[in-house]
Amino acid sequence: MGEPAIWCRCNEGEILLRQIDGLMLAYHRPSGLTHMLASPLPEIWGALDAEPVSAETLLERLSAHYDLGKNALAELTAHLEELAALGLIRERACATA
Amino acid sequence: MRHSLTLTIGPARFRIGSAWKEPIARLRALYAAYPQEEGVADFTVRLEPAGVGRRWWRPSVRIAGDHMLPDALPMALRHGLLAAEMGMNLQMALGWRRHLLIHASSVEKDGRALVMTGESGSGKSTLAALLGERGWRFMGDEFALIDLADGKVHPFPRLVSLKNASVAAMRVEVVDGARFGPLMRGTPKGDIAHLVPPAAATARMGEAAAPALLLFPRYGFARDIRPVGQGEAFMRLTQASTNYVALGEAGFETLHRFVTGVPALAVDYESGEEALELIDALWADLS
Repeated sequence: MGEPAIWCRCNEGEILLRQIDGLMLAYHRPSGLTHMLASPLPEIWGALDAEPVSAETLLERLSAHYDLGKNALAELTAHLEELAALGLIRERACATA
Repeated sequence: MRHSLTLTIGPARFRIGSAWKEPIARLRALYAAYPQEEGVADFTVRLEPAGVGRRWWRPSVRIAGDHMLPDALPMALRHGLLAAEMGMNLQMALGWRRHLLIHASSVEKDGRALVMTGESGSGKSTLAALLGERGWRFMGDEFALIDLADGKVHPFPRLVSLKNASVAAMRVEVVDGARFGPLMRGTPKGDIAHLVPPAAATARMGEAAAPALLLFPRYGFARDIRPVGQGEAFMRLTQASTNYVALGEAGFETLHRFVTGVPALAVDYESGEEALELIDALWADLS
């Protein structure tokens, strides 16, 4: 079994964030792409920081503020993978960066 | 090239060359009020024969220049004026980097700008032309240039490109026939005539204005006004900009400032008069 994934936003210098109408605009400097993030992605982003955490730990953080359903962990993991695919957060590799 | 003209429109200077005399003569006359002195140009546009012998035999114009669309079809020489205008637009769309460039018309009143963007046929050109004859300063019918430093709209008041029914509508509005270019029938964009903007538009084409209202007009639908959220406005303006991606972070910041600082509305209308009435009412509400 591989190690469980951990996540962080330790690449903040690569991203420029702006708020509009409850949405989050993210400009990804390395790619030059603009992303428009709708809930729950801004909330997930806000719960992350530069210290890598597991999805389980992140779920605990989010559960303190939001009423999350039964499949919350699976959904959260999918959203984390989505953010990582956009380059807006990083997976495990950043732990040693 | 055999015939050429240097022309300044707003902040951009073009050098237009042509293998034929007529398109340059037309441009020189229609742009008589614009600076035409020689100087270093931002862009070059060339109207070239589409092939060997095509300068004389069934003369056909290929639009060339600093920026080109390699697969663009040549045009008939009788549409040479349109080819020159398209060539200038192409240079701006593909090469301009000093402002965020939005495919939109704009007019100004009391130091504030109204920006109108939409698909071809939405009426944004005609509305800007009409407003330009009714007390507003015409700033442009094709591109609104948004300043990267302060967000102001800079004019780019080239000739108004009137299409199909708009030609007759503006002939009613503008009595001076000398302000119209030739009616070019059967162009790829339909019947087209160019209109010289009012004198104030050229005299003040160096004056920017802070944007106060963004409209998404739509012609041919029952009268309606709907607010457009900042997210939707941002998305639609990225699609309406030809250089948003090329400008990178500066474009992102400029567009963010625009959509968060300027109210946006979608406006449906069935006639020019109805649109003008709506715009007057919306403008009054702003102040």
